Amino acid sequence: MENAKNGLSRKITAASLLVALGIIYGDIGTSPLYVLKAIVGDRPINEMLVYGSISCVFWTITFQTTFKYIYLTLKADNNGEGGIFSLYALVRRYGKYLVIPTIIGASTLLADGIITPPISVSSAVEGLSSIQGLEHLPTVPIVIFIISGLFFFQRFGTHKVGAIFGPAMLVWFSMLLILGISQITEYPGIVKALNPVYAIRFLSEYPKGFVLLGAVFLATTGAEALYSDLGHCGRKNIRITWMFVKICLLFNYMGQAAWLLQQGEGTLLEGRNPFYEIMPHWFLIPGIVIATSAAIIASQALISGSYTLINEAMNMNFWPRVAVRQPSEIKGQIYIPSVNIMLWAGCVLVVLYFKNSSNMEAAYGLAITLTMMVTTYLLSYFLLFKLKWNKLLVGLLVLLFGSIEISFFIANIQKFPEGGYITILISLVYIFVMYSVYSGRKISNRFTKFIDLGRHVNAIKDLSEDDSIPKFSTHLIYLTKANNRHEIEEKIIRSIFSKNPKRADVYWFVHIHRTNEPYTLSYDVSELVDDKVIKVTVNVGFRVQPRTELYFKKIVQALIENKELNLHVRPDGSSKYNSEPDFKFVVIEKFLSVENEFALSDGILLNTYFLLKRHGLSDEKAFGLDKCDVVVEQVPLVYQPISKIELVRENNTLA
Amino acid sequence: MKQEHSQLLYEQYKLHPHAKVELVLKKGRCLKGFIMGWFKDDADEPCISKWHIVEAENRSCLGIDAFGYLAGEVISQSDIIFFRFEDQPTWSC
Repeated sequence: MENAKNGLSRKITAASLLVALGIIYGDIGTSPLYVLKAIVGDRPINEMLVYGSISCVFWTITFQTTFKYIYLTLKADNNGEGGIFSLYALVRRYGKYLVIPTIIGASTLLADGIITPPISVSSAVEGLSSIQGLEHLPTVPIVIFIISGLFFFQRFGTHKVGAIFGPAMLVWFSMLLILGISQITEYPGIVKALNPVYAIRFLSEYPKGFVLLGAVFLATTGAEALYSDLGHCGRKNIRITWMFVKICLLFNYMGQAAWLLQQGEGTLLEGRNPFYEIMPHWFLIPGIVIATSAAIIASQALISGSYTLINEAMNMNFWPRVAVRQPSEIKGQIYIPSVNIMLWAGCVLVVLYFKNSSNMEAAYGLAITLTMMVTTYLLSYFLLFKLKWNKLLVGLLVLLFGSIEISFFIANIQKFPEGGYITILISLVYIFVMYSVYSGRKISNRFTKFIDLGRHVNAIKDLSEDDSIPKFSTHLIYLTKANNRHEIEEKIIRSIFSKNPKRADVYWFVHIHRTNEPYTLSYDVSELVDDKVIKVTVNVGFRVQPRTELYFKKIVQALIENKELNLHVRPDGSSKYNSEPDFKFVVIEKFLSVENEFALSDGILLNTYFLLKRHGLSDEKAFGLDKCDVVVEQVPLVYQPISKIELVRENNTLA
Repeated sequence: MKQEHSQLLYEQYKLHPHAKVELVLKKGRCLKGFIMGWFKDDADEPCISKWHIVEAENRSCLGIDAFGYLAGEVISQSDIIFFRFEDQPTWSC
């Protein structure tokens, strides 16, 4: 059965298909704005260039988008969700080191995403220069204004304007189709370009034809985003709408190519964009408005996708905890202020640095080829271990897509000095952050000592009944990482008994278990001592924001109602003087002890991890606890104590 | 002993939580004491990577000395060749 967040994917309706059009195809759907312009550039137009490049575009879209993503990768849905982290969650148990490619893939996807809004919006706005009298209109301020407005309105959510995305994209794709057909009828011979022989000849015979694959690749960069958005619409809706989208895209590419061939051998583009050149002059202004709307929708999809990606990274412990807001009641729609600022700054800097879409084309696509290679690698694990496909078949698929993607990577690496280094640098920053958080947390976990809770329950019971010690709270709740009902962190037992022992009527140990499924929300309870020591495991999906206090109170309420929890005091801890429930959560935070002495790499990783942790969201906020009910205790993490201390005693007067 | 086999030692410990354990380590070293706690590489995984073994006198204080340092020894799972709980058969992996 197919699941999706908005339920629209469960059945195929005109509305669900329209939603899919509006959400999924922004990125790949706006590629005709810049692909042919990037391929032709300042080269003289000739048949080999035009036929060959269109053939390459057709076969790239067929292999990469249709076969790899639409047919194969969409099979890898994690309870309806897609994207690199969902795929990783599906296969991580089959490979210890899959985490490394996953971090690289997610980082490069995020980094290339910084160019998607600028290149789409710039390409659309630059259409204005095709209008007489506006040839020298400065587009940079307009692009920055549109992008800044888009980021500003993120905090309000897209639920009010989201409804027009589908119809707007339908208009866009219809426009692509009609414009394409109008040119193909002028030069029907362009259909020959679908013959793969033209692609082969182009790659082998055209001067630097192989390098031009970097520009051809721009036609398929949105395929990865398409997979990330699987959860919004569902597989069937995507597959059905793709048929329409692919036809529109191909007709438009062929229409642009037909126009190019009509210009005659040896003609130069001289800054003209074939996308706008195939528009009738009277249609230029509405065409630019439609293109700009499509570019804004594409950018919106990218921004929402980045929020989802960072949210998943955070819940899978790859990203420091940051505030996540829900701007509307729509399940899964989130807004992350820090990511919004980061993306906005990145996009504005890209616009200021590259100035126009032609320069951006030179940088775009390099990082995303790495993401696609990682997806192929993770997908092979999925096909092999989850779908149990034949090893030989999986090997052949890896070979096929590996060869295509490595070819694209080699072609794209030429973009490195022309601007590709920017996305690679940004990717490296993301990789460093993700790896620091991942390994810093792992090191921190490695120093967490677990003990047998059963050995301490009698002492806890004695403490609870010892009236000589002032009561700390009725319900004392500790958050524990121990997933086994009999074990607990030693630091929790120390917190209960050391210094001023914490007497309570009921001791709760709550474990938040992050599941590999996206939207799980369930719990189980085990009582170690009747009504005294209780362990609760709350299973929370990796896309769900944990609201521990709320869940916990609901669990207590359910236990009291079912008469599974019987207290001699008022069950919620209130008294006749105080009607408020008496819950006290204790959060134990680690900090890096000054006693440590590190190797350089460990020192950098751990210091970065604790620095990010300090500046990120506090544990109580991250777990959804109200500040007034929380006591925060700090314990040092001693990783490697300083071993060589030459401390010399100078006198013995004490003796 | 591989980390995957740590569950065997853990299960035996759960059956005999108060029994003294004898560990035969790599290079023939023998260690006797009580299991005080354990460490994992990943809290979500069942495999244990290290064991904290203490003498009888350190059992009551969580295996921590007066200055907050760990008493006894922390033994890596990979260093254990055999183990035996008091009056129980020997286990190897």
